[in-house]
Amino acid sequence: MALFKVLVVKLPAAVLDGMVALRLLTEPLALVVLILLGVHGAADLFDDLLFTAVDTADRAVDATVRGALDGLAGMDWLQPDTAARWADDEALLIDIDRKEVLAVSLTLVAELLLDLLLLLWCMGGGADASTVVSGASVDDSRLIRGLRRARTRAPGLLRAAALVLAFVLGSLALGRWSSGRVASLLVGPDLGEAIGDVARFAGVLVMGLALLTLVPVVQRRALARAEATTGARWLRALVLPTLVIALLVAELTSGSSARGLWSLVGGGAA
Amino acid sequence: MSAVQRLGARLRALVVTGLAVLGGLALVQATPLGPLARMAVGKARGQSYRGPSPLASYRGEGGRQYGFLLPADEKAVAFIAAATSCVPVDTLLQVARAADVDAANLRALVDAHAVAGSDPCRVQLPAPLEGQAIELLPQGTHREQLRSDPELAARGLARVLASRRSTFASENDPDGLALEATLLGSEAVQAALTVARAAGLANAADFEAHRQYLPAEASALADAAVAVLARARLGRMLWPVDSHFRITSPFGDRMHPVLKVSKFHNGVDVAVPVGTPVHATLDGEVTRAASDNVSGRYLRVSHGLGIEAVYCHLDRALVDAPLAVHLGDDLARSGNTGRSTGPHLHFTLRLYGQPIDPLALGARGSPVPPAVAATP
Repeated sequence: MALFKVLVVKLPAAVLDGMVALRLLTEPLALVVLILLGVHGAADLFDDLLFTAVDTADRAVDATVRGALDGLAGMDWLQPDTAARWADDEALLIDIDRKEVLAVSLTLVAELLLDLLLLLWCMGGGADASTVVSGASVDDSRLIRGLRRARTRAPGLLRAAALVLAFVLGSLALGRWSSGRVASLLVGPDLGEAIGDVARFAGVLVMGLALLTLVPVVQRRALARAEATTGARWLRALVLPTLVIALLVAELTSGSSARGLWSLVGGGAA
Repeated sequence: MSAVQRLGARLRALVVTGLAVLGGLALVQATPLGPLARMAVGKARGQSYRGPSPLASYRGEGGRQYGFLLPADEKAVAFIAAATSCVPVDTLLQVARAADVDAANLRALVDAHAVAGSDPCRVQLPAPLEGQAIELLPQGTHREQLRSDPELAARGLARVLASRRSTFASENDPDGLALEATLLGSEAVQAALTVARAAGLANAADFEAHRQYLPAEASALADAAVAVLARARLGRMLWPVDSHFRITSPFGDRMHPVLKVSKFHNGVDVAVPVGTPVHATLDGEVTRAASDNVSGRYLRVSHGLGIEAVYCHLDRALVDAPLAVHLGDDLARSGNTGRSTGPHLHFTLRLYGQPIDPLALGARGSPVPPAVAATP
């Protein structure tokens, strides 16, 4: 009986108390992973934009080089057919595949930079408006000073909006991912449509728990500072209505062919 | 702290810890951070990394890039480029018709198991497939007969395919699922389909959709099976324009008409007047509709299983990305845009990122167009 009490009551209680004690670590960690998931979900938008930018830059370079070669040919410094051949040389023109790889690589770099920026903003969210760039001195490297500056001087509303958006997207993404994992774990017994219902319930449960449990953390780290710097005391009150609207939009767009921002949210299991 | 408050704090801590763990797993599996971390760990240990590329999650492949995982892309390209099994095509077609199976599937299976070397016409089936084929062939058939007679091996494979097809007769793609089941096992494929549908996937019958739900033992085989499945899919390919148009520049090394040097040509040029309809060669999804200095107006279409087609120098595209397309759909009108010496369609076909010769595959429903030496 004593052993039963230890195994069933005292041990789980001790484990849970340990989790409570680690709250200061697990809360920001949970928020961080959700933000990173949200940034990745939004990164699909970067791909096309960056490809267009790379293509535009390639055209500009090609036009400049071609103009320079034509100019040299006009001044008889180069044979016209040589200039034409060099202008058409593939070394100057990046083909589709290289542009694709370049654009996707830039997307990855952009995502990692955005991850870093949001993490800096998130980690610095506990400070109030009076916090200055503390600790910085002329002996600090430019990188350190730059990081501190990025952490504390970003516009409050922009920072708050970015963190909240990433958090919401990440929660939705985690819900979808969890739904897929639960479905895959149910392989074996032929539960038919019940598998889908259980999986979807699990996904909604995870999403709901993520949103509700970590909202106070988001308010503390993102919105408190924004309120302090902007004087808009109503920011925190906006969180729950924004979450409800986001959930409704996500539900309405899930299962459609929508891509980009909603690909992780509406696209089924990750 | 009251008991209720203590309970609340404990529950909250449990939820938060669970979210942190779940979120960490999702980050590793579904974002580039996982592959990046594994690459860093591998590098620190002095080991080479052979997992999915960090860039793969942006390509809509669910984190998997088949070409990266295959033992060697050259292997896949080689057996695709061969595209001629040791069993004559006419015989394969007869065998397929007799067994009521998809000829492309049968050809892919025979090609996959053709043994190269001193006796290239030998078909060496793996033991399980060999056993199943013998069971379905006339009584008295021996393994030695199967191994020495490619046509008999083809007939055996056709019967195995036919028996698998009956299992999936009610599905959207019974032929594709039959091939998959021949390679991975019917039970594994059926289980994966069930879970994929339960997860809410509308396209559960697609290999890419239900691949992640294959049981572990079948999942390991799936990587090897992808090449065969891709070969079968390519066997159903349609030519992008009417087959009577002349091919002015085939795949491979050629004299570049502008640069006057020998260069590798990664596709096929077909002389077509401006405004000629261009069709989708397989079912797939338009992943990019854009314009480029070199390729002019172009469309990139993904057909799954590492297969990708690019149509270049178009006059105008009739579709945009993203859009699902079906075999034969009207995609664009040919043109003369980009770096081009005259109105033509440049058609590139890629398998796992490597360009392959579409002429070597033939095209369903139309004979392989005659290739003419490139004219300067």
